[in-house]
Amino acid sequence: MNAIHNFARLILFVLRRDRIYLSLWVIGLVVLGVFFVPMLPEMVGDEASRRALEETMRNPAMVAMCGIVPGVSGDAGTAAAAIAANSSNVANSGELGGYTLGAMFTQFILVWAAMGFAIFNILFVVRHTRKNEEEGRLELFCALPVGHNAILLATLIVAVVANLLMALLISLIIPAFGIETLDFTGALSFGFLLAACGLVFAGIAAIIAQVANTSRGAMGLTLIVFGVCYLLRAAGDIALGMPEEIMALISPLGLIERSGAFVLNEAWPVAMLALMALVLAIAAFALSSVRDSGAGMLPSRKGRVRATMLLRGEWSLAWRQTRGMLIAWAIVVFSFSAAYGAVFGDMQTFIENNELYRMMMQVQSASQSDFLDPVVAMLTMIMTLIAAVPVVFVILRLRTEEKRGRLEQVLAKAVSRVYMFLGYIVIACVSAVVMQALIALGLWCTAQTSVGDILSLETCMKTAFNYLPGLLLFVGIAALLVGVLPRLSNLVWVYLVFSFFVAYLGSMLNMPKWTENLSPFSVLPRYPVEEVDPLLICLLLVVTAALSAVGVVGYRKRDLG
Amino acid sequence: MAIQGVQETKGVQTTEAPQQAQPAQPTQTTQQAQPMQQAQPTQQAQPTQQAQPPQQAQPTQQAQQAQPTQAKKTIKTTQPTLQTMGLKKRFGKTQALDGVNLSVQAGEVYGFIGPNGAGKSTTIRVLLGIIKANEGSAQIFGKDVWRDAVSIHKKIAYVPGDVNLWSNLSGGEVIDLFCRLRKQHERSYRDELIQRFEFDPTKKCGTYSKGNRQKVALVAAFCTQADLYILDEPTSGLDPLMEQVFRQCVAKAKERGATVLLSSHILSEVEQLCDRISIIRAGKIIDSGTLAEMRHLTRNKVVVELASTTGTTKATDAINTADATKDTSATGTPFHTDGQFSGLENVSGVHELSVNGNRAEFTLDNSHTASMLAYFVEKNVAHMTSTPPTLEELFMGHYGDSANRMER
Repeated sequence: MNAIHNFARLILFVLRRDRIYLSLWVIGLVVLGVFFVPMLPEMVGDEASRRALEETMRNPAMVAMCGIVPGVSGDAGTAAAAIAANSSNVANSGELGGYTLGAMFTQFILVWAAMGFAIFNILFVVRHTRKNEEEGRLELFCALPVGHNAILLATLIVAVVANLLMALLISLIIPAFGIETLDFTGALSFGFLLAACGLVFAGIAAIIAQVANTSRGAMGLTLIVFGVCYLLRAAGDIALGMPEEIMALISPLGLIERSGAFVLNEAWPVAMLALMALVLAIAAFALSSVRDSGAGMLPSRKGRVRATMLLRGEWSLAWRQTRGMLIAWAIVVFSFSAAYGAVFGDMQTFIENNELYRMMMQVQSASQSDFLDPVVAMLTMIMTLIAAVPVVFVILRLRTEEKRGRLEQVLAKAVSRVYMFLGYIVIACVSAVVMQALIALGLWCTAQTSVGDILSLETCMKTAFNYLPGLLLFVGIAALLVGVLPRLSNLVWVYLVFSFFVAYLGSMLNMPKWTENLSPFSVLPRYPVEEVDPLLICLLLVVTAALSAVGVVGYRKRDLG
Repeated sequence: MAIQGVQETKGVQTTEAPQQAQPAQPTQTTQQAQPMQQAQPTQQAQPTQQAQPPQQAQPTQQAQQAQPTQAKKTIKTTQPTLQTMGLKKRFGKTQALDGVNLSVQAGEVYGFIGPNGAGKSTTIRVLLGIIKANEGSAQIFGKDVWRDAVSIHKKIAYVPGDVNLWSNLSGGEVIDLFCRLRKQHERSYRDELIQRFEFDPTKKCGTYSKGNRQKVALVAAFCTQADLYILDEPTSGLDPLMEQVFRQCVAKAKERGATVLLSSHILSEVEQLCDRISIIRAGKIIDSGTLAEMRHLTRNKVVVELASTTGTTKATDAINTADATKDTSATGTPFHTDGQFSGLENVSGVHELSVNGNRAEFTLDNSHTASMLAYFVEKNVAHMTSTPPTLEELFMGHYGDSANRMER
């Protein structure tokens, strides 16, 4: 009991400290879990479109992205389907071989929501364990009558409570929409799968927080484990029914799909995940008991005695600070574009049969050549919005440096604020260009196999760079905020999320045109369908330049730190 | 914060103690010969503050007297290296700076002291062009600190009190980066300094302790030849040995003719290094001048205990017993001294004397240490401690009224 002395008080402390952080995550993740429910019936109303969607979703690239739903007829060969045959739930979902709205919902949302839960748990656990320790706060606690495992226990208990709360909310909200096959039992299993999966990652993060040498290292390592889990699941799902499927069963993200929420509602994956989380937590406690506070368990890599010539000034410093993040995002952007390119062929079938989806993709007619253009435009736009995240991060990094008090030392050297700010803007713009090129390349290289030569690299590039001014506008807005309204820098994310929703769902939600036009991507012509508008591009570039200039001037004039 | 000041001051004395242990021997033997009920534990509690025999104290005193003379030599009447006039800065409703006037001449080491939150760091951030003053002017090398920040910064080196670094860079990389950002590629002392500060440049900055992060900034600052060093509590987190290395660095910079602005609340550090000092409180400079002018800064608090015979069998100084009893009754009348301490109030440099039995407490101008010790040579001194005033005592002593008002 000594090792966890006073943990109850620490629970209150963690809750008090993170009352806003936690509430925002809980609301955000619950919304992520349920927002798609009301849109579902509209999207796949008739049988033909469901069948088309089912075909699309069976494409390996789609499976790699979204996963599988055991218990639907298409997967008859799998072990999971064999269980399904015996399950009474299958009878309820009768038509379409079990590919009900519930099954669709699971396939669309489960893996993505689970990733959201995982990221929340990873950030939360590292924040309260290793980060706390690194910043010297844990030491203050340890000097009080507080057990050395107490903060870890308190953190994990709060994580359990938060995850269960979200699970409960999701399983209450989904049936409230009253959509066929989206029933309470399914929602319950859906919600608790997410919670259990989240807790497994909480356990992994708790272990890595003991092992790694720094909180940054712990975060990075845990995210790598997370990435590996995602890849294992993707590989295992593609190899469905073959021995290689075991890869997906090792990964928590693959395990949750095996429950077949809303179709089979198997309980064993939840139980296995909960057991896994418990074992991980116990291991974390064991490690925490033998470890010195502040020390890691991995051998620490030696750094350079001298800086190379590459680290010579404010621009290269900015690059050093953003390099890792940009490379990771570049890989993500390229692989997602490639995955989209691979499903062009199947999408065609689906979209031909689905009026709503046609609306979403803004396809006018459904003939072979006309089909591809709007899809390329739409997917490029969505990828551009994803690529905007790292690009905006580059500019906001300047604000982070300021908040952490590092800028003061840099600016005490012969460093001009304007020159330094320009460095971040240049890195952001160059990475924006690279991201757009990667999107085009990714789409093009896999589209070669899925639809053949119809799609030229030139078209892809032109489509991607048509959206570049829209992406750069975010750089301008971020620069303006960091320069003039530093405290409100994060507002740029609100605008990005808004643009994302408009791009994704604007045409479906019948938004007023002017609201839609608040997003630069709705204003820009959808290139292969419409013609490129050089005047508009110039205008957007001028606006971006003006915003950045105001930001730079504001930055030159304001107090820092 | 005052507590830290006291500790640091004592810490410095600690390093001097071993050298003085040898001459102090006679006093100790006397004490061991007559084990006193009170004296023994007191001595254990303050082992470093042993009696200083006159032979040892004299050279120290001379050294200290020599300092102001040096200072006078270096002060020229040319344009000051650093000058502020009526500097004001508001943060919301807080008036952080309320008319700061500083004038630092070329080649001098200028101390800038004050309690936490007094505005030291704010002043320095204004001087570095990181924040902009609402009113007043600030110039370095005759240039405006805000407008000409970049060209000024080529010739200055800055060490903050709280060094924040990038956890993915090694200490060595950061040192090089800082030098390059200052556009100074000549860094002859880099490796020598790393060695002297016993610093491991290969570790990632995320794993450095506070003291080691401080060393990164110190090495980066002193390995290049700056014209002006701006040091904001540079030794926070350093151990006394490293603090000594730091003092040598400052001395070397001064020798070269560089100017130093040293903000600190470690009074002994400021006393040892600085030619002139400014004291800031609540955003205002409340006192400034040379060390000679601010002699009161170096008035030490002295406590002397004479060997008493009460309750002991070895009555070597039994004559004093009667006097001691008399003194006890006289407690509370500070300047009534007779018997054991008769005439002490007349010794030059002795102030605020109060006597309690065989124990006397008074403050002493450091310049008069010799005459005080001469007075005690004849006495049977059991124990003597001498503590330099902490910043807090200084404020209480000389600005007590306003300081009390501040607290309320």
